Amino acid sequence: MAGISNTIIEKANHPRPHVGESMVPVTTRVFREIGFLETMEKEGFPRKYGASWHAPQNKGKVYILFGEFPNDLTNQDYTYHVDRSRMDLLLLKRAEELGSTVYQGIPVKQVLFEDGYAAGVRIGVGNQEIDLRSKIVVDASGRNTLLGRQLKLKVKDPIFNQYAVHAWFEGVHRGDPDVAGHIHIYFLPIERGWVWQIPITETVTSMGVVLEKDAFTKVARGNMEEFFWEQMQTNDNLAEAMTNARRINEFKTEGDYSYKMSKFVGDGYLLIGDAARFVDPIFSSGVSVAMHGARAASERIKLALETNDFSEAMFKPFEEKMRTGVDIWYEFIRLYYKLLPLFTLFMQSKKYREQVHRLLQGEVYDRKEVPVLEAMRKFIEAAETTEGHLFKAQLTDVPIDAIPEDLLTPVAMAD
Amino acid sequence: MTVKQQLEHFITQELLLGQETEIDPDQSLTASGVIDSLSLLRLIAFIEDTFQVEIEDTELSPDHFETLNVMVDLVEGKLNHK
Repeated sequence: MAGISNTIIEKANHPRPHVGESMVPVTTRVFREIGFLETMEKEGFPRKYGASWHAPQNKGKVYILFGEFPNDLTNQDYTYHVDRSRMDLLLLKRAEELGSTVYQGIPVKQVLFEDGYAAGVRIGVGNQEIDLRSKIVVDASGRNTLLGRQLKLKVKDPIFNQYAVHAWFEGVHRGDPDVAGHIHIYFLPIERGWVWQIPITETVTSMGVVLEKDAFTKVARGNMEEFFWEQMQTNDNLAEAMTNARRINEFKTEGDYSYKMSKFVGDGYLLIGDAARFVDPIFSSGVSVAMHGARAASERIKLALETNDFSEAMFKPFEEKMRTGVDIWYEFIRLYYKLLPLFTLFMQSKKYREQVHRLLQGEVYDRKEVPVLEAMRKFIEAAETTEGHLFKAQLTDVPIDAIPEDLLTPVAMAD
Repeated sequence: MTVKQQLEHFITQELLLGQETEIDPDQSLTASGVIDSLSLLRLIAFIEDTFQVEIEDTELSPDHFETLNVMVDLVEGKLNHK
């Protein structure tokens, strides 16, 4: 953050592995603004020109090419797939180049408060704890949700309770050459179940299974390998892709999948990225939301320092912007799971194809700019209310309206 | 080709992969499984592209898609109102 004294305290020692390996095109805008796009290009991360979706039993697939509707803001017809251990290290170095002080391998134990304002952090160094003072604290602790847990802000998503198992493989058949660089999403014949296929290098592919947690009983019994390979056989195209696949690292799991904080800002603090909210990653939205969140947060932080106002009200516009953005993703995700064929129908519709594309590229920060969501709602309503509607049988029980407050339960504190 | 011939050609060649060359215009295509949710998606795209008409959300019912004849009525009705 040019011109502003800041310290990044990172629990891990980089490079370190991390999930979240595929992006949407609008992320490029932030890379360019922070002088990082050149690095992305130079490092040769696989280019992502589009996305492909596969129905089970080889009953059809649909794909998009970002180049079909070029994005003026990014001026590129592709985004990237990344090995997050490499990219995150490069980003950290870039922050250092721009003037940040970076400490690695240092856990933040808690955020300190004074007169109701966040006033610094307590860090662990060896056996000692040291307090560091600051005017503003930004929680970017990801799914650890440090401040959210400390202040009991964390609310579990009442609809999605998914769980993921993932690993890297060699020998995955990524499909025909024109789509081999895509992210591939394979639907499983189980509600809200899907598999990602993401190219990491020329030969290494990330594969991950996402399912409702209840479906993971075998994992609980320790049969991760068996469970994973069983799922690979439930979609014909996926089974074909995995015919000669060989796992090259350990399986990792992600639980307590979707959540949000009851607020993203307070006096003296802001929560960004996964530290604020996490939604089903089926549209690769996570890194974009984190980068745009950091961008929006930096604007308010700059203003706060200029005016010496560190109140919640000062940071609120950041929260509103991020809520709008992630709410749009979340609405799209719910409509998508509500009636899967609808996505294909709208993708092939001349009227809506471009709007669906824009959404998938990550242009989600103004609800008025995405009327396709209203059109999807109307279609679902028609399917629900029209007698004999030919898509009625495909409707699931995913609620698409506002979620009643009583369903929003705080997450039990882990510590 | 008439609307009926074009629709019949698409159904027999694309949805039934040439297994049939003609179909009974009053046969239920939903009951026989010729039209399921995926083939319906293709049929909608074909109708909208070929005849430059728009199918309304509420028209995706057996009243308009059960048989070849009712599909022809739907498309011709839209073409007459263009």
